[in-house]
Amino acid sequence: MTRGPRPPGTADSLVDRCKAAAGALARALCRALCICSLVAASTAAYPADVDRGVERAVKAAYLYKFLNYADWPDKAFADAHAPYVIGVHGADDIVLELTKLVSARPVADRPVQVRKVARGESLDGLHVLFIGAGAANPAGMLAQSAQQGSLLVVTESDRAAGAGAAINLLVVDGRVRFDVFLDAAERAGIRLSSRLLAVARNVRNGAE
Amino acid sequence: MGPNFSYARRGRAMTQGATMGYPCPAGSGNAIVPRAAWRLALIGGILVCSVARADVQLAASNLADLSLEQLSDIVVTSVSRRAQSLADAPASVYVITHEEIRRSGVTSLPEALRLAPNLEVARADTNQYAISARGFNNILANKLLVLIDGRTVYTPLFSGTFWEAQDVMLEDIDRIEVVSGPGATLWGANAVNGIINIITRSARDTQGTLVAGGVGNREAGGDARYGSALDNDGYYRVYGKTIHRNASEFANGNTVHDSSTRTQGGFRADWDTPAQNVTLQADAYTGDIDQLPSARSIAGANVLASWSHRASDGSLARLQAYYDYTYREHPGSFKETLNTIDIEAQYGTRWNGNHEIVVGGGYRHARDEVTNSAAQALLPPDRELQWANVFAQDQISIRDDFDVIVGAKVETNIYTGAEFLPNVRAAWRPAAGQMLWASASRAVRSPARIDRDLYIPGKPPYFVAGNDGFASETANVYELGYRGQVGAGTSFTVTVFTTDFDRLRSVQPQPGGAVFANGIDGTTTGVEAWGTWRVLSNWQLFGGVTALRERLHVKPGSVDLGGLATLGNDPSVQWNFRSAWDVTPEVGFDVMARRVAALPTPSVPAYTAVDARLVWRPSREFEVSVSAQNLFDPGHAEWGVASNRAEIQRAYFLAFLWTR
Repeated sequence: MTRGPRPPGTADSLVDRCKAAAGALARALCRALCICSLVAASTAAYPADVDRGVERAVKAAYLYKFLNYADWPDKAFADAHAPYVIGVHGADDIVLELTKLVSARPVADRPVQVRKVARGESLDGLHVLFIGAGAANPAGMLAQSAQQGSLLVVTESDRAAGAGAAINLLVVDGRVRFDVFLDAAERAGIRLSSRLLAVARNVRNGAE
Repeated sequence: MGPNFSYARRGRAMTQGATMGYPCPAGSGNAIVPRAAWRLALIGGILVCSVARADVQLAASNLADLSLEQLSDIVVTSVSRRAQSLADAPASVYVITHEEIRRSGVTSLPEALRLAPNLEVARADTNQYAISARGFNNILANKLLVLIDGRTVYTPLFSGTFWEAQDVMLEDIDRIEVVSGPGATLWGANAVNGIINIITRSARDTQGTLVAGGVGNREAGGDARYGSALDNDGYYRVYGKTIHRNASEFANGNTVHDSSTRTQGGFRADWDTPAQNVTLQADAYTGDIDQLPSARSIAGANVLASWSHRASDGSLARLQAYYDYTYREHPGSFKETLNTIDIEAQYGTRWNGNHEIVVGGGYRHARDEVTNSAAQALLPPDRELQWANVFAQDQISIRDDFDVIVGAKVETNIYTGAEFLPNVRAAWRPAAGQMLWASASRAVRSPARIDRDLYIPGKPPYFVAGNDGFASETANVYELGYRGQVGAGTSFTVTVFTTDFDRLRSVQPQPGGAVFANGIDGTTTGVEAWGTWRVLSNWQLFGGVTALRERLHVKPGSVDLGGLATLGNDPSVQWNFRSAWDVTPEVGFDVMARRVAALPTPSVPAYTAVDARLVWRPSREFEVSVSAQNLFDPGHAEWGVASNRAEIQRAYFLAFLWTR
């Protein structure tokens, strides 16, 4: 790089600091190469080339973002500042990702809380329920959630169509996309925005 | 797919062009413009744009800052197939992300554009920039089309952009799509060498309060935004910003007298209902820019409304209209008031399973009123300008891994009538994450007021007299590109192109003076390449280079009085490099370096500039940063004649950002 004449004083120390920073970068680079090869070896164990870490992080981000694109009836909240509560069943990794994500990230003046939901547990107070692929009895969970009003049910199954979920996350063409089932959202009394529908892979009305 | 999204579905209005110029000399001749960009990018864990790939471990907390569209574009495997967004279009596209802008610490649009490896950005002084792609760079560059949220930012004076007049709330930018190469079929005349598409976030995505400000040795400014919900399903935001920039200096230390103060405010509201989106937005600004003998002043306002409707069969209809007012006064030179209205419509649908068809049209009317001076005149001083266009494009999936796009636009202007702008592209995806593409296009720059209406001096006898015969400059462009991923976290793009230009603007002698004529032709050939490497989940590197060779000639039978040298002044090579590193979750460190080869005419020495920024986020709501531009160099020139050019000085800036 070119160096023009330097003003007295600070310049030398700046240069020194830059050299130090360059050294740190070089060391980090070495570390990186080692770590990358380890990571490559471990991800190879997953089927279908899916990078689990990224996939879980993206799905967690979706669950959070959906809050912005859905409207719940007023009765779903105790008051104007009552929190959004996202329940997660059968996906502990999503609970972890989501918990990190929602802290200090309110949506429309409401804090966001994450709750791990066990089998048979009450769904009262939840606004979103994510039923992960790790659920022991997803059909039972869907049936239970169908009894609950004002609950946006999100699944990650390839068989969720028409079974009660309003949104189903799935990996298509290497990306995490989602299908929307308008009838399920309507039954739950939740209104989904057109921006959400515009991004959806498919928007379906009923089990057509 | 979002209405703002796909290259294939996007229709943009029309424009026209002419250029070159008078006030500011440019360089030209034979040049090669490469650019390289190496950036170390860093961190945050976000994918820098859909071109970059998700990788080892993305922090969900950063993903939450992405829009739904961006989330749906992150590749989590390596089986990508269909083109989903502009970033996947068979074209030379670089997408500057919100995150990259934030990390760079820049305070103006032109500085943010330095992030795109496929643009030439040369700062002429405190306020003026020469920005182009694939050569022909000039302060009055005229082969690049710039849009802000669908509104063409364009002056019919020279069919280019007054960069000193353009600004947005940088924190609210979603992304800037930079296409190098022609886009005339969708975007119209003027999109000869590139398109810059600046897209701000939906009001829905900018809720809450944001206050930012900063002070440094070269400038001080601040901005604020507030976003909230409306009763009827809508969201809005309002914002205001102001910035003062200090005068720059000549190499001998004398002031250039170019300090400036600029203030802007505006709002945006978005309504979503299940089938449609409605957006209404407006901005207004005013600015004073010092110059001798007295300051020039600028002002402007615009209002834009758009409506899109998505039918149950997936087809999308879109309608947009805007009004734009700009005013500028250059004491002793000219004064201009420009009122523009523009309306456009488009419809996209799928047909017969494997065709994605987009059709559309647009109309623009502008009234350009100029007050002339003794030094020069645009005659007639007032012009009613009109453009109208229709276009159609079909993206055909021949096979799962092979697409062909065919399209054409017909656009009319008051000077040359109808122009035909066809385009054909093909894309083959031989494997996951890999795309080989090729294209052939025709683009034109239709005449601007300068080309047809300029007279020097302001009264007869004229030395330069307008030429009613000035025709459109034309370009036939051939491109070949490859885009690929190598493992997780590494992606690259390479494009080679050659463009045959004809009827470029020359200065033709005639008895008693000269006129602008179309006496130059020639070829430009070049390479653009860049790549991103996510070294660690918290550390990302970026590098890019462009090289350009321009071979332009005065046509047989023509004589040129220096027109060749004013077509542009381009470096043969440019590179840039970035590192983005999240040292800890609270501390980020970014370095950007760029090298620009010497400009030939007028001669500007090669330079290397290194910028760095350190940011500390003690909480989710607050961050403070310190940045330095031109770290190792007290000053260098980027543009202009040695005797009369500003040095771009070292700059420090201390800034804060508070959101809640």
